[in-house]
Amino acid sequence: MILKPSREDIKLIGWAIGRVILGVGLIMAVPLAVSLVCSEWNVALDFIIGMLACVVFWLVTESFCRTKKDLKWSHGLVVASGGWILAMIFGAIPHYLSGHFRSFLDACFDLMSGYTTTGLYLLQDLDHCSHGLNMWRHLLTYAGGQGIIVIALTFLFAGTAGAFKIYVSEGKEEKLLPNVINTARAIWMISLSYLVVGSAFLWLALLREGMPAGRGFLHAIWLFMGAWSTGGFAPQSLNLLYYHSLAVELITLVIMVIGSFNFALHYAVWTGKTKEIYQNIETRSFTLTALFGTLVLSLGFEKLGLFTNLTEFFRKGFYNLISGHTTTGSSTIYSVSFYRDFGFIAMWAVILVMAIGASACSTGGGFKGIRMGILFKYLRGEIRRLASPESAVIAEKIHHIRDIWLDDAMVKGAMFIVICYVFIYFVGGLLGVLYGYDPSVAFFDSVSAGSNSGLSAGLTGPLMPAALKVYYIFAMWAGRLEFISIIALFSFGGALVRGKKGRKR
Amino acid sequence: MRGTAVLACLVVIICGCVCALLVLCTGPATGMGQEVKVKELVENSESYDGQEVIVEGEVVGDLMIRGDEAWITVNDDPYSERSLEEGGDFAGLSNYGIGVWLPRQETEAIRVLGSYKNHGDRVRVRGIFHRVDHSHGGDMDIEGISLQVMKPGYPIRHSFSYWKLALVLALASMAACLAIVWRRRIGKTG
Amino acid sequence: MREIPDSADTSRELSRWRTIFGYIRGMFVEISAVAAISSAALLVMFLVRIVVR
Repeated sequence: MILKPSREDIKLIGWAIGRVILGVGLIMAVPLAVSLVCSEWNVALDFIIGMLACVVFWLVTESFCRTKKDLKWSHGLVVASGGWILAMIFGAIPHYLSGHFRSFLDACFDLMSGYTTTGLYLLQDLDHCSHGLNMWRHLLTYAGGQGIIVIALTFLFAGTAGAFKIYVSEGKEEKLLPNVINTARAIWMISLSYLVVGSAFLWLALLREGMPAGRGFLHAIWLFMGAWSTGGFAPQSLNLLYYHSLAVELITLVIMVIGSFNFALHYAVWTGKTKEIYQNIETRSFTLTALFGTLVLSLGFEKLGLFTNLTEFFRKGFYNLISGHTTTGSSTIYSVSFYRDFGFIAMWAVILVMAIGASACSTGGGFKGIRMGILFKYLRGEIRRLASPESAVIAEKIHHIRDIWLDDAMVKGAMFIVICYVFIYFVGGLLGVLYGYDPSVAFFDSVSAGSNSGLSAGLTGPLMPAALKVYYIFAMWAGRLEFISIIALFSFGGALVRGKKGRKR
Repeated sequence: MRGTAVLACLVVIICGCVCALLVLCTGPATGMGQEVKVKELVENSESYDGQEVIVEGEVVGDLMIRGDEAWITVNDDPYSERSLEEGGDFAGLSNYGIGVWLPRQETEAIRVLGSYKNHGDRVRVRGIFHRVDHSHGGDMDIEGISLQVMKPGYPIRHSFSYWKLALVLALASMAACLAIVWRRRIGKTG
Repeated sequence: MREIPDSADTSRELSRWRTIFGYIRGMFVEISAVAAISSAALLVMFLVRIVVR
């Protein structure tokens, strides 16, 4: 029997989501400040409107949704998934007011793409975009990569026992520190440290490449945010190709790979367990799949006689492969080049690595390296079991910060999520084919959306069908939250409609 | 007979002078570049590879000077005629442009670069299109030979949005009222 | 009131510097890991080139 959620449950969820939306409003202070410094007055008004809308929503929830009840797992899941949808709607206000989006749906697409660190975009005329709006776009990926719930936890949920439940519901299971608020703050400490170092190096590289100091500084921060968060947004329409710089590409490559590592791995390495970097199942899995992807890519290029010298292979082939594998989406080639120039083999190498994705509890998407590791070890265990006597006891383990023995529940869990990802990739690809796009292009962009990669073979754009836009928003959202909280949200909705009232005690 | 020969010589000399004048007036190396859109180049890169092309559009972003050469980005999408900030219509794309590298002195004529605040100089660039530029890490770009500024850039006028200001005031009032309601409810529940 | 001895301040200071050193070392380790993966990938590309040609 499905129990109908009570009024208190709805109030609790509303109250928690109100805090998340307040967090979104507070972050808008950064692009507001940039707009004011750059004398972009109309842009400043856009952000003030966005902030006030968030504050109004928060005040409504604080006034009418106060409850003494504490968050349970079911609430946490609904807050995470529902919070993301509302954060998308409120965050899209400055986007839509900028005049660079044909419709509010397009603005929501870009918001979801930013929060989920995908990097696909429908914004038009990016090269005439304001600094304020560019700051918001890039900050979205930085905030989304941390997890907008993590942000809310850091500042707005101090002292509540239910905070951990919301944190896990956002697709992060790693508990760096006993207190989840401290875990969120540790994640920020790591991110901000790299922000300072990475931006400094990028700024120096851009100055060397002839950019003026002021614009170079902003571009350095934006490029860092795009790479670290594995978002892939860039301030110019040519993306990384705009800079024509090996130095910038090298630095962003390092940042995007490090950004795709699990935060628990960062914490372990930073606090003295340096061996973890090569013992960890995810770095091993990533290395193996990256090398396999490189092998297939090289074969594809050799067949076509394209990018055959080392520098060109590194800058045009390997860079884009790793950008896809870390689910960043920064690109040093035109979108159509994936389809027209890469050829079938190289293009599918990129699709495969995008599908696999980055590490769990990182800013990356896709199946995740840990699941690839779990499934590989499971398969190896099964093969060994078949080859061994019946009485033999075969057990496999993985190393992820500590040694973990594989059990059926873990394997089933990994397989379930992988199947969900394959399903959304397939449905998106099929939809693209039904709309008349080339199958390789359709699957490329569908996998890119579902794995939150952001590379495009030319399908994604303002003129794509509305149904595909809506599906890609769903795929980005579901992929980022790893399905469990999405299923919980739909179950909650179903229970609201069909559930029976619980007995009053 | 003699008169005809003299006439023929005069004609040859005059033609030669006219040709020399034409060469001097049109500047160095008159190629046979074809005017083409960037979208056409990118989507048919193999057929245009190594050919001399002419691209006309708006210079956007930055002029990146690196020693003796400089990089610019030239956009020739509909926004290069009239950007969204100037009230242009939606064209269904972000932008379409290409990187051009030129001898530094060719870029000295560029004064305004396209951005939020400015509509950049409209330039006509003649150069060699490279599908894979081996001297620049495999970039798809144009090796510029010459650049001409066709129309100078100008600042974009952003008139203040009073309706947005009105919306700000309305939302601020709403927030103030709700804050009062919230304080009262906190006071009641304790 | 008992005064806190200087050695406690010194050891707190040392601990803070050790922590910062640990963070910097951690960054270097991670950057080296990326360099190692990239080098391995370029080696793969090189080997493919030799085998195919």
